[in-house]
Amino acid sequence: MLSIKDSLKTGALAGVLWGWLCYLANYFSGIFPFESSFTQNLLSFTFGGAVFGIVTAGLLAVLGGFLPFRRMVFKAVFISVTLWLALKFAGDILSIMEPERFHMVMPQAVQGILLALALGAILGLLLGRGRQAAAGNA
Amino acid sequence: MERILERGGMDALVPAVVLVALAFAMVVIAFGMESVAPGVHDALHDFRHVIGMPCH
Repeated sequence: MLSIKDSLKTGALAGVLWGWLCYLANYFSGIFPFESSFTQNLLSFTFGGAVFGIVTAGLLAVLGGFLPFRRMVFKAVFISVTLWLALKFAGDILSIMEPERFHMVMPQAVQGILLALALGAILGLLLGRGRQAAAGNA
Repeated sequence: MERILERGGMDALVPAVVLVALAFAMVVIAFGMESVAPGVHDALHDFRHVIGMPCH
């Protein structure tokens, strides 16, 4: 069993990896033409990814025991996709309230939910490995 | 015993505070809330689009 501190550290690592994956996925899909420089994006995707990874790992540590899945990877995917859907839902409400400020773009939304799946998979695999290592050391 | 409980409480409190702060930061990033963090909209603009959050 990992402590919440270790879970958050693993979440930060998974989030950074996921941030870079987001950059690469969009680079190859071309769904959103990048507007910032590579250096700025490297920093922003690293930072943004880490924040999302830590929050997902924290929610997983708090709520994971209540989820009806045995494998860590399924729990992590469930949490990350639910989190993304909640943010998207709130964003869509903002878009309805302020249509000139917030635009909904379907291809970006599809890419986003696929990336949320990826965050859950990366986090679940890393946490699963961490748990195995902790059990091995016990 | 009290000391153990206090230490246990503090050990759990710090990650909990970090988690709540980062959850708030995540919302600020996701919606580019300039009123909360000036510059966040431009700094994380591409990231927000790539992960499918609505933006201008």
